Amino acid sequence: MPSGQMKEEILRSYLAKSLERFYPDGVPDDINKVYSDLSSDQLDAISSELEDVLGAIEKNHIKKHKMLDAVFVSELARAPRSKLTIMNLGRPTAKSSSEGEVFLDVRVLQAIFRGALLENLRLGEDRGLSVLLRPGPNDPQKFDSTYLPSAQTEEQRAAIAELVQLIEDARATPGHGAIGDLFAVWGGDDFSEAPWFRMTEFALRSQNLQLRYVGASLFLLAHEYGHLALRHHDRLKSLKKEFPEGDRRDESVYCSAVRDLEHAADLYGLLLISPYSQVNSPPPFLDFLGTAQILTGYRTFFQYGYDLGGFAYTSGEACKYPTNKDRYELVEEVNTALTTARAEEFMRALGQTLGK
Amino acid sequence: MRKFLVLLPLVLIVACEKAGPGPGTVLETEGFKAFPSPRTFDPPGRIYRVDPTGSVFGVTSLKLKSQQGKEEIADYKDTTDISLKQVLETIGVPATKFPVVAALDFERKRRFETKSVSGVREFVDDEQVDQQLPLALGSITIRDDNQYYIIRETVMTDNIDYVSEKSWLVSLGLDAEFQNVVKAHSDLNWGTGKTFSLKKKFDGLRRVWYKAERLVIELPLGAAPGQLPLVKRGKVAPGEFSLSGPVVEQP
Repeated sequence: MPSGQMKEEILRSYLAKSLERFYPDGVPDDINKVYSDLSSDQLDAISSELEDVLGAIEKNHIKKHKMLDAVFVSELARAPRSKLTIMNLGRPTAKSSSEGEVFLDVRVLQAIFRGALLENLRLGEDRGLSVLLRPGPNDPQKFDSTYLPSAQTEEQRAAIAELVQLIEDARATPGHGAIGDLFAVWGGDDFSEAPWFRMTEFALRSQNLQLRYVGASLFLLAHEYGHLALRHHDRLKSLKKEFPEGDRRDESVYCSAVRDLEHAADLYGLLLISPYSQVNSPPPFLDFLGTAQILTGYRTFFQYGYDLGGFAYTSGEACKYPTNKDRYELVEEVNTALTTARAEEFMRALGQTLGK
Repeated sequence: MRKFLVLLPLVLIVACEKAGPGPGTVLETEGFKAFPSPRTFDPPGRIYRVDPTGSVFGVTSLKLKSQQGKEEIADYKDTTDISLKQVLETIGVPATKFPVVAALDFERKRRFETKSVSGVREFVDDEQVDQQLPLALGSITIRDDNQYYIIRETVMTDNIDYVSEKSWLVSLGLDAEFQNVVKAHSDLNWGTGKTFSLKKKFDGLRRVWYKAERLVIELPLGAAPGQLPLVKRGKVAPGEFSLSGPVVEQP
């Protein structure tokens, strides 16, 4: 791809657009400020983009319906309709209603965006194949409930500044067509400074960032859609009928069942997004850059977006909500089983093909 | 902002029990009901719930600045159930002034017709309500089997005129006593016709009518705890909600 086209794509990317929306003046002076000063045009654009994401989730649901239906205890709705409402109240809102409405506050999107930048900064850009290794005890890939991203103000600054710089550099680098790129490489003293090489570097650097951001947004929306797909609102109604208010203490069967709804929606999100939940997917070890893992988004959401978004860890509700750590660990466990099974399945098939 | 003019006095008529509703009028069409007594409390934004037994409980009040406008609505009628006891309380006459045997009759609900009203209408807009409702209800235990309502508009006045037929007081033999007692507390006009009227002037505006809206509250499923409830508003069906009974404050 010529450098001019790459430049255009980088500057038009979801990542660059989000930077412009959430941090139009670069790194904010007050890092804790929840940026909500969005124009109605910007809100419409966000809404339109996420409606596309939700539309993709709906399509994938239909595509994977049979597989998903075999996994979950509750009967899966065939093609539940959903309607997205983007809110701008500055509250940590991500919820769904019995009428198929999904509500998301831009504060959460901003938190996911910042979380993706922060995660990328912590994991580094040059991890390469190491993203496939199992995380060690002090590895930032491992979920750490003592690490609160909201407290890491300097890291947050550095993460935002990194993307600001990347976009500025991309903007400042001239873009050429294919012939222009050829002459620029041919006529220059340093190949690596030629626009094509610079743009390729920017594209690679922004790719994981964008994947993390899109992945976490996808996971969150898939979680909410999961409540609709798994008919959780009906289930909650019947639970409420079955258990009168006096029987809804935290240790009750009722509360346990309510917590299960959240875990099930998380697992639905994973299975919907993961390529390894469908037959004939490529084996995990061929995903050299860990793209599939990053795109599942749950880690970015639970470790970074959750805390940065200001989501509560406890509430005054009768039933305690499962913690983000509990939720992460369950999804991680299932994801590990899923990828392992897919790898084993592939190796078995390969062995049979080779006549073993 | 809507602005209206005050021109006509408020007149409530205590009609005979079998009187049917009058022709549709502006406030009636809009769904207004009379408070059991004129009052300074219960402004727009007050929320009630009704439990399965029909008991009405106060829930909370939205912190809203209502908009106000003076209003003239000529010759309209509404029917509502209210007892003479409540009327007497409004003008400051305790029912205990009358023989115990009359108590049951005094408490029996009778239909009132409002023939005309002047007053100040106060109201809150959807925008104000929708902003505050989820927050206000988010900190309250929402009971699955209760119905929730919010007062959206009221009409206030500083004077009220009750009119009723004399015949039922005469049949109880209380007409003379009634005249003696009531005269001391209100401007009673017994007259020579079939009806009498009680006029009461308040020392300020009192809320006399209210218009309520049904609240349908759903506790959503969310990505984290503490998600605010989803609240939809709906029209109250005729006879669905009334403040005519006692209101219990939130236990």
